[in-house]
Amino acid sequence: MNFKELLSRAKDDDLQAKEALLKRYKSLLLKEAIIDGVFDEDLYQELCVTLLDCIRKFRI
Amino acid sequence: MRYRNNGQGEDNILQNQFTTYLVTAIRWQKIAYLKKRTKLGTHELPTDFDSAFAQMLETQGTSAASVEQPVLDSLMLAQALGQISDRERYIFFARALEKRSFDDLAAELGMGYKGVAAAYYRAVQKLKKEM
Repeated sequence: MNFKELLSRAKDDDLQAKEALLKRYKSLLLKEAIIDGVFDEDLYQELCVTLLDCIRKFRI
Repeated sequence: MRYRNNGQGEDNILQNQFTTYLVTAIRWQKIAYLKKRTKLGTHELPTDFDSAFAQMLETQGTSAASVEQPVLDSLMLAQALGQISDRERYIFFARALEKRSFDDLAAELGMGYKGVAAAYYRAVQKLKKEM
């Protein structure tokens, strides 16, 4: 499945597509959730929400 | 199998655009989160009250030791006052506490102005030496 298809399916509230996108961007989110060398779980959670927001708001 | 996005083709371009979009959103979210956290941190009560109290005293420039200092000083002053002569003590108190002039004291004690002044400064010096 290519990215465009995945994204449009995620936009249509497809849980599996969202999961696949989250899996793809997980390493980025994990990296960004590290503050001063300490992993902040709350921030990671916030960033996951941000990813879902972005999927919803991004215009293809 | 590793797949590398080389930025070629519609799909890769779209993915890159989405990633950029996401990274920007993440940056803003992070700033907002850190702001919120520092705001909460300043309003939170520290659980260790003893160290917090000591810290508060320190920031105000008074520690437990400096609270005791005036008491200790007055004790030493009383002891030092016992060491000087009656006349010197009288002149010292009249000058330091009652703010009387040397002329006034000289007339009262039947001494010269210089004699009273010398006695006063001698008393002060003795007190300084004792403390």
